[in-house]
Amino acid sequence: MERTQELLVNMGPQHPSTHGVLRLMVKLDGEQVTWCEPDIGYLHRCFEKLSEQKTYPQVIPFTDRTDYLAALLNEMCYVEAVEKLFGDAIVVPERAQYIRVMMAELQRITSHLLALGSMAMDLGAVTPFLYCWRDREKIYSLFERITGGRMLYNYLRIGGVRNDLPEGIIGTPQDGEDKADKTIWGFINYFDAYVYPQWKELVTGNRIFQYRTQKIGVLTAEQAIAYAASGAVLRGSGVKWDLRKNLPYSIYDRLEFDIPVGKNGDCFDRWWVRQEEMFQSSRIVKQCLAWLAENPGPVMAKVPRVLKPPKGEIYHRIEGARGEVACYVVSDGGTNPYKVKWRSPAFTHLQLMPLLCPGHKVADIIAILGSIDVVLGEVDR
Amino acid sequence: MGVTNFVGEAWRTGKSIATGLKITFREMMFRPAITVFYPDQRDEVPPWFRGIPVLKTDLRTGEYKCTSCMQCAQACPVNVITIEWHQDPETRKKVCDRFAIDMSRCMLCNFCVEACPFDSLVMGYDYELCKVDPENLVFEFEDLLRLGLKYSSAEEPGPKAKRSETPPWVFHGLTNATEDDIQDVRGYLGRPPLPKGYEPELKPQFQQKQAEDETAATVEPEPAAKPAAEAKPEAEAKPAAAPAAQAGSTDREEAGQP
Repeated sequence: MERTQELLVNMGPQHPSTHGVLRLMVKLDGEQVTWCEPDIGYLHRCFEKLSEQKTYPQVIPFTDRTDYLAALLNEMCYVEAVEKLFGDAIVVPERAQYIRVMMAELQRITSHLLALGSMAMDLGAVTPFLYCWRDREKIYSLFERITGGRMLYNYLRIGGVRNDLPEGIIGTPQDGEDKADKTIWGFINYFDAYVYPQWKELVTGNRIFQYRTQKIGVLTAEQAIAYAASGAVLRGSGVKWDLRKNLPYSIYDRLEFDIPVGKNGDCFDRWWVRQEEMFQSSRIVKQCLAWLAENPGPVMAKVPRVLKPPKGEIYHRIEGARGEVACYVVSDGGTNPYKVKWRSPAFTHLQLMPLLCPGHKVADIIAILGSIDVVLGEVDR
Repeated sequence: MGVTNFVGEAWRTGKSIATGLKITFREMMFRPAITVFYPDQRDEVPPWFRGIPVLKTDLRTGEYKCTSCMQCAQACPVNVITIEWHQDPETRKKVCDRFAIDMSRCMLCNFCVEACPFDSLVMGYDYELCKVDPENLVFEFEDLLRLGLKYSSAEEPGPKAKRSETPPWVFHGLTNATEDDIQDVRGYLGRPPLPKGYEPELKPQFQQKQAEDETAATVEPEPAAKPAAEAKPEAEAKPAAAPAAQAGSTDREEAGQP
């Protein structure tokens, strides 16, 4: 077969579809991708090394900034790891755990909304992106009222949460769309009644969108496990593995929810899993709200002013928005952590690009990158 | 691809386009618009908002509440707080020479406010902190006190209240105090010292003994003398401020007489 010369093309680091500063080196044979390699490191901020010079609470705002689209989940991972390090010395109040889980699930909805919206926009559907942004803003206004920050919250503390929910934020189950940015019940009802069906109708049911994503970037279950994929990428390939069910942490064993699992492992399945996960998150939030409305109490355990965990090391993992967020903390008995190692799912998932891209067209790179949902802040840390 | 398959696909594609147009049309015509035209309209800032950290002043004495204890500087994860102080040889108290926050590096994490044992720092509502020159982003003591006046209130004289269970930084109420609300500013805010015997009016939200002096106020023909009369009993509790307050009230009365 006669072939033309292969062309090496740089995608990024300032390409609008690369979700941050990611440079993809792509070899093209005509329109066909033959080789793809991500080049990372543009957002490196020395998070792990920096944590060694900070006290244990001072690391929390830095964990926010690793994955800035799901900041609370990162905080939750680090905070629970340090609490585990303390063993029985710190008992987190039940209410604080419910607040954490509720906030984490709301955060998962925001993160998935943005992942879906930006993927749809990269594939040419600009309107759903605006709707996703609008709905995400409503959660952000709720978070602003609860925590004081819009994106970077610094809300969880070792031993609980910084403050209780403000009065009237829970609302009543009858709250409708007009209260979507005032009460959590209002948003959840709005989400169930409007946002979720609209997404299904507008994007998932769209035949053109299905053509762009189905049978693109197929990742088999064996490959997904071999490449240490997790979260929606793993479940999109048909592996039923969710840390909230399989290794329950916090209070997830008391909550009822299902795990959506895909079949083919293509871009559409990963999209579909995210969309269904948002609905499951709203189910979890409802159960937490029902519990929180009835059980007032303290939200902060009694912790010493200067935190000095006993000597030891801990590896704690939780189900983040993009996959398995994990944290390895080593303590030498002092006020500063001896070592903090961060396992970021986006970094692990980015290595799927050389596997998934070859054989597809240039335009499909965008679909694959959008479906594995990387956040470059988390890749580089 | 057979003909029936092609027709089916074309029908489904056309249907999904029509669905998309229907939803877009519905959003355009029948759904509420959410755009906020920013410089003209602004979203309401929630009470726990974290803007620039600012310093509070005690409006009754005009003293800043910071005691240079360095707790905030130690709690800061990014070391943006610079405090320089010296010890006053007479009163043996720490006097703050410089308190600067480098807002180009501050990440608004609230740790300094939580660490402050004297309820001196508060996260303000100001969020438009753009400067042309980045060096201007270092906010000095005067700037922070000036910005913090909005959240300052007149403290009850007497021993310092202990840190309560519900921390004060949780709800920082906006009192909208201005420089004129301060009783005795000793040049901290960089303006010329106030004339001797100056006795400003306390705004209603700072008047705590209004009910007691209502009868006196009705007898007094001049309403400006009312806060001065009110300030007297509290000023007596603070011996340092008492002569100034008394002098102020007498001056005002004399001036009012002719």
